[in-house]
Amino acid sequence: MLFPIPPALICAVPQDDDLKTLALTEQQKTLFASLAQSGFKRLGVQKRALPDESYVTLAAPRAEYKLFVYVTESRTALQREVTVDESKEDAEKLYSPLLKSRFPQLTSSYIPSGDALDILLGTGETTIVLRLASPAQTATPLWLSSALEELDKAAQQLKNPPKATDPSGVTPTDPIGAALKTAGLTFTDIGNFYKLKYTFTDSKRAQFVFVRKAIWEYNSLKIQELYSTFYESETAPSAELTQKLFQKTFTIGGLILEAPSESQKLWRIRYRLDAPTTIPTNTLKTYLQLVAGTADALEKELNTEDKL
Amino acid sequence: MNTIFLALALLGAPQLSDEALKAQAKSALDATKLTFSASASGKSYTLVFDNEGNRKQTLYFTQTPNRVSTLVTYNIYTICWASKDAPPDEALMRKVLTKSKKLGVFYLFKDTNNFWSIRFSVRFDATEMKESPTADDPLVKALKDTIYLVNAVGEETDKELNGDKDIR
Repeated sequence: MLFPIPPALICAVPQDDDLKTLALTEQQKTLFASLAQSGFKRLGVQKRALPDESYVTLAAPRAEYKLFVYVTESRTALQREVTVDESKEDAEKLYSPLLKSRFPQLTSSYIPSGDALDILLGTGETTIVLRLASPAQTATPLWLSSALEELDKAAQQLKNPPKATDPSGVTPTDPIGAALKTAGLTFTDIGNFYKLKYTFTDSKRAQFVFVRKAIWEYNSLKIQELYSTFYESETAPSAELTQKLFQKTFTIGGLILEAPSESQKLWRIRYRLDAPTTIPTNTLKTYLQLVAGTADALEKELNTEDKL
Repeated sequence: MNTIFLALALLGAPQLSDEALKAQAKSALDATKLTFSASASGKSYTLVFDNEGNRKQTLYFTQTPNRVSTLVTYNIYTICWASKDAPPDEALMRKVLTKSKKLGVFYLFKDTNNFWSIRFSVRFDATEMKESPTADDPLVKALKDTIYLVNAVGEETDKELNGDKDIR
């Protein structure tokens, strides 16, 4: 929503008492008059730690958001907060590049000296603070109008972010999916997983490998799972077989037993490998080959029939 | 379709001289600033974590690198359950082996003295480790966080399976 500020009306608006305690420049007085004229209601004035630093809080005309105006002798900034559902980390990944790419004009138009747009992330619910600043003497009513418009556009982008997909359908939040494409591998997108089929030139056997799209995180670790199933049956593996298989050790990766669940009715044993999301393409190819080769060898050991 | 020649993680590549890699792995552990020492057998480095409730968890970092294809890996493991002479029964195996963790797997181990254990292990890929790694290197951070994860899973599983009896 844009609130145009008719320049003709600005000078007719008198200064209110609450602002008289602030050392405002003529331009800043004009800005507050413009905001009042446009329906913004002042909620409070707060002096900050530094002598000439103040914050004025205003409610938007239909109280749909709060606007903060930060003033010093040399600087004026408009600030508005938007709360988003993402975690701090996800919000930073998703919105920082989005805002930087969509609003590059903020820097050049309004802030010759620098920080036109701040993204401040708090804890818990993530609050993104959009801030536009200008030297006090150039914070004209025209600047105010444009700044409000820019803040409004940016806020709308935060509320309705575009789908983060590229033409291949691989999302940037799924780095290994993107790496599969870069590697030139043939794969099928099956919802939560990518499916790859490997054929062995010597045995003519084949093996399906799956890449889980979800990223698992632990501290600095970010991982996506690669796996291949080599045992699949309505009956659970015997204790003897379980003991035999799970005593096997591997140079990399290992086995996991999957019990039947609501989503699938079979007992499965998978060979799995955890790949860091930053994995180089060549290493990813090696990992996938290891998963396919190892799972196929295990399947062959259990059953000469090549089902999986 | 992706066509490959057979490559097995099951089979290690032929052992080469590992001395340089061993020195590199020790440097990486040094860079984590965690306290570790050589195990009695000399095969591993051990790291002992003090966990809540005066519980401890010992982690083992194998000194000898494993190689497959172009990869160099090390086994980081901890013991979650142990028994002299008797393997885990079917119910226990199913309970533990179906646990899916963010990283790593559980496996069974029987030593030469018929001592059975359930271990939690992560095979750490150190292929890209620098010769003289520092604390700021991403792979050193990953190593440190992997060690923390192995401790956390080991301690959690130990507590779940053994209650007050603390497998150290």
